[in-house]
Amino acid sequence: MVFGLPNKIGKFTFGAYATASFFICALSGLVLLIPYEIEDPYLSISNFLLRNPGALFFRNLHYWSAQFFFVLTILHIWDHLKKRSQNKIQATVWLRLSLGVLILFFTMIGGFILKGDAESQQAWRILNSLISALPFGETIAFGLLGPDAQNLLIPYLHHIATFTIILFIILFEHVKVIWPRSQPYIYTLILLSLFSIVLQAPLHDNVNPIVKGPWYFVGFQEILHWMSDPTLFIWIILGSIALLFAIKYLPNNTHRFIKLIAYAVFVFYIVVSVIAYFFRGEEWKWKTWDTDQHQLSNEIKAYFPWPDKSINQDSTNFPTILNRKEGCIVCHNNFEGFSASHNPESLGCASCHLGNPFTLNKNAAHRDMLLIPGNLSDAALTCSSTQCHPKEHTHISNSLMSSLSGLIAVDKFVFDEIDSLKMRFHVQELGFSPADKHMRDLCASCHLGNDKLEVGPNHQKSRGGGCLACHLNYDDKSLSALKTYQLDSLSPKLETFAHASLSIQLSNDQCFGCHSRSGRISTNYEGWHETRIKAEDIPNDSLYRLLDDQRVFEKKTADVHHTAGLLCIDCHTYSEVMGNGEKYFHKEEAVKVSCEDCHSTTYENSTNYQELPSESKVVFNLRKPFTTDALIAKTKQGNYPLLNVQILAKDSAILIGKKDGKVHQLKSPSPSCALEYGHSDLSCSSCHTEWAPQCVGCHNAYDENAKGFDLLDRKKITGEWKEFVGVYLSDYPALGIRENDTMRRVETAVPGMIMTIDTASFYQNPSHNRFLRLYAPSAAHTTSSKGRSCESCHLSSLSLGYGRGKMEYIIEGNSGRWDFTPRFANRKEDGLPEDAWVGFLNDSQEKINSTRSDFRPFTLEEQKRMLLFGSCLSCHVEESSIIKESLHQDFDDYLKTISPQCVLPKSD
Amino acid sequence: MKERLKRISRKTFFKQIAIVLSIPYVYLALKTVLWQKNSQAIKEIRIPIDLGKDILFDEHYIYIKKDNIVRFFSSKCTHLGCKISTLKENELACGCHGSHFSLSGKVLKGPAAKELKELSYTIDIETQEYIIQLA
Repeated sequence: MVFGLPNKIGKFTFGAYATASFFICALSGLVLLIPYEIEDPYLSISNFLLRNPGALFFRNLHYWSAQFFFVLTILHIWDHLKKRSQNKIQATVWLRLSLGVLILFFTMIGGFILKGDAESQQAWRILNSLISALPFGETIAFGLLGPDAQNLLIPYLHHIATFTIILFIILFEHVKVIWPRSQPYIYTLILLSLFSIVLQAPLHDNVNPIVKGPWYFVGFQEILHWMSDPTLFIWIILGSIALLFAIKYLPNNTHRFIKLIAYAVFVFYIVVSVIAYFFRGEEWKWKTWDTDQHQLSNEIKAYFPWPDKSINQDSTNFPTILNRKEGCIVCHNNFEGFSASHNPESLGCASCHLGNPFTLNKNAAHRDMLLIPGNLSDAALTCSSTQCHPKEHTHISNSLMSSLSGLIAVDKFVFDEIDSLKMRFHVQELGFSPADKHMRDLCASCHLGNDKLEVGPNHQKSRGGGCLACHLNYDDKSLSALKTYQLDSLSPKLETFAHASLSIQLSNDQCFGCHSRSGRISTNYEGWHETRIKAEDIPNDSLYRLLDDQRVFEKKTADVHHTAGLLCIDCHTYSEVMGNGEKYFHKEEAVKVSCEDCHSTTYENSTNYQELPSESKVVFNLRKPFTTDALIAKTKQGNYPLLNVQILAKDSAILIGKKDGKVHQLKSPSPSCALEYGHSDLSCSSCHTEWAPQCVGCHNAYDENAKGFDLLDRKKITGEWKEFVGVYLSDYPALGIRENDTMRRVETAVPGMIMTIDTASFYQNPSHNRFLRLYAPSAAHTTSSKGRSCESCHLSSLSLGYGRGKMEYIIEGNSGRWDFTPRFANRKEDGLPEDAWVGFLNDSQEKINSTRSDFRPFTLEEQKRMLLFGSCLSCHVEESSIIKESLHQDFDDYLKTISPQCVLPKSD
Repeated sequence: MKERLKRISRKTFFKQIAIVLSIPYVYLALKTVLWQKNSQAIKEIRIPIDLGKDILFDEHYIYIKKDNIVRFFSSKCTHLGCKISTLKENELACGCHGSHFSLSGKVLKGPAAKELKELSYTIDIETQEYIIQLA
């Protein structure tokens, strides 16, 4: 018995079958000499795999016979070591047999290297590195392996001549016959032929980032992975060969001991080989052996890989793609619709769709194929592979659009699971705490890591989709082609197929799905405000719009940029949308562009084409917005280039529409925007936001029996959080202060989380109910060209944070006072109106009153200051000279000059 | 010594002579290989200055442009010599066994223990090329 196996197969030993395998290997190798081209091995192999069924067969035969020879030789050696047969062999013959093990290894690894694919090249480098560590190692390595991994003539000659001849000589010397015995030869030939017909020898597609050595070597790789200095390893190998030779001379006890050690080492090697083969992925990282077949896609592939159709042998219409031939485009040979950078003649199909590019058998080719590549889950194998867009994957994965970190942090804070709003999270790491469950039930589909599972264009209900979320574009032709295919998928019309394009020509439709939720910026931008009208009750009126998810929107004023024809991407750069690699806490940190970057009296922050980062140059060259000698504007924050904003003069700039190329002359801000007194802290949006959607009276409760859907795991569940909405309103936003060490600015705000959360229903414990009153900074995307009126801030209870209602200035004798009657009832929890941020003429009583740690309502002093001016407005219209004069000087000084008839609020 | 010589058979004697005679041939063969290796070794590489990229991975070098400063490193991982060809989160990653290096060549994650070899270079103003010294 050998390792538990019988030491013979039928009448013949392992050695007999090993000899037969070697013979078959040599003969099949002779045949392969003809189609194999050493000048470009990888190209020649891919060529004959697709075009020469005979060569395909003989390659498989050569491969399998080599593997069999190797395994049977090991078994044979062990068999004889057990019997101590080496004692009967002459010392010199035994020496050659021992060295023959090393020669066998070099022959095998040489065959692996001669594939010329990515794995072969790395194997060459590793072997070169290991041999170079020996004395005279670099010279020996050059003599065995040649100058580099691309020039394989020397290892080729050694493989087909030197080592093969040496092995023949050793074999002949050992076995004393030239030809194998006929019975084992026949049995071996039949078995190997069956293997060769069914299983294709591996060839790396040079796309998969996982690169490993051959199966018999991966165990060594696992061991080498533990060693910082692998020099010791090569000495261990050489020492093992020396020990094999020396075993002949060892006494019985030592011999038995050595055998036991060898057996243990062998078992250990099997274990590490299994670990390395199945549980090591890209960069040798640990992974579970799951159904992700792409992890193994470079090993044994393709059942019955025989071509479905013969192809034209004319090499002129069989292009080389990524330095190899690819079978996909033989069948899928007439595409249109791709952008130039994704032309299948350059990229082929397999670099995106994976599958097996080295076969013309449909089933074999489509095995492990990705119908919809470009999701973040497979981006490392497709869009973000080393040759394509590797940097973007990291940027996108770190961005808030992938992680939802800010949303999760606020949610967890609201649920009292964390006590800081500045913590980082990732949606893929959501657990099942009340907040996490809340996210899973209500929010967790809107992230880029959400896989796109259905073919076709993104639509209003689309969520996520990785790279495809933005870059997948269908036109009429490709839509029509898709519909035709879906109707008749069994016999698709392959003659001409209009494929969706992958380009940077985005439309707002791509953003719409997710951004018509939450802050509703997509719908706001177009001038649509969500109502609570049911779909069946929608008035038949162009002032109402029904979305695909049955929400009804009413027409409001659109953003002035939308009216001018600007798209989301005309303002928001790729480094904002895709991320710049930084992990931000909240969205306003990630957004670098500001109004002042385009609307400025002087354009001093500029760059030019030569100074652009390389990614920006690529985008510039694709879009060609203007000539390369133009001055390009940069954002004040972060100095990111605005590739579609050209500075014409110190005070003049234009914006070129990224999709339509339309030229927009950028307007400078009005002099009112630069008022020195009292308004210098205002953000542009605090005056120029026409309206913001606000909802009031929300309540969240958990129903443990409700049938729901986990948006993250995409599965049906029992027990979910439900959100109950009060009213949807659209008004001017409130105003608040963002203040930190470096700045103080007035910004717009809307109710963020003024709600009760019925955590009692989750925990089944009444003491867990929670009420919060948090406003959130808002970027409503309803910009108006004309700023809001003075009264809308200084005479508005809503703007001041008191909520809606009637606020009036009452003059009683020589003093005035403000009075406020809220529209909404007070909440019992804190005595404030439903929609308020802060009490009327009161400081906020809460330490945390917004969803940001640096954002707050006006203090009492600030409110009084606002209302002081408001008291003027209660008598003087804002167009009056009195009001206008007051804007151009210090207000306190101005008050000293007012008429004695003016009645100011009591100052207490 | 004479006794020992008398005991050696003729066949053995000639075998031993053959072995000794092969030593200079082995030495000459090594020198031949060494000469060929040195003559074929690429000592320098020229690449255009305007590459349009911040990072470029090549068979022999990695080009890194950061803050307008250009540096070249050997693309050979110091663990087992695999070609480094991946950038992961601003780190140079070796696909073989997962060693990571910073953009200044320092080891960030093993099993590699030595930092990447930095390659010196000059600029040919006339041809607008970098000349990278590989030796």
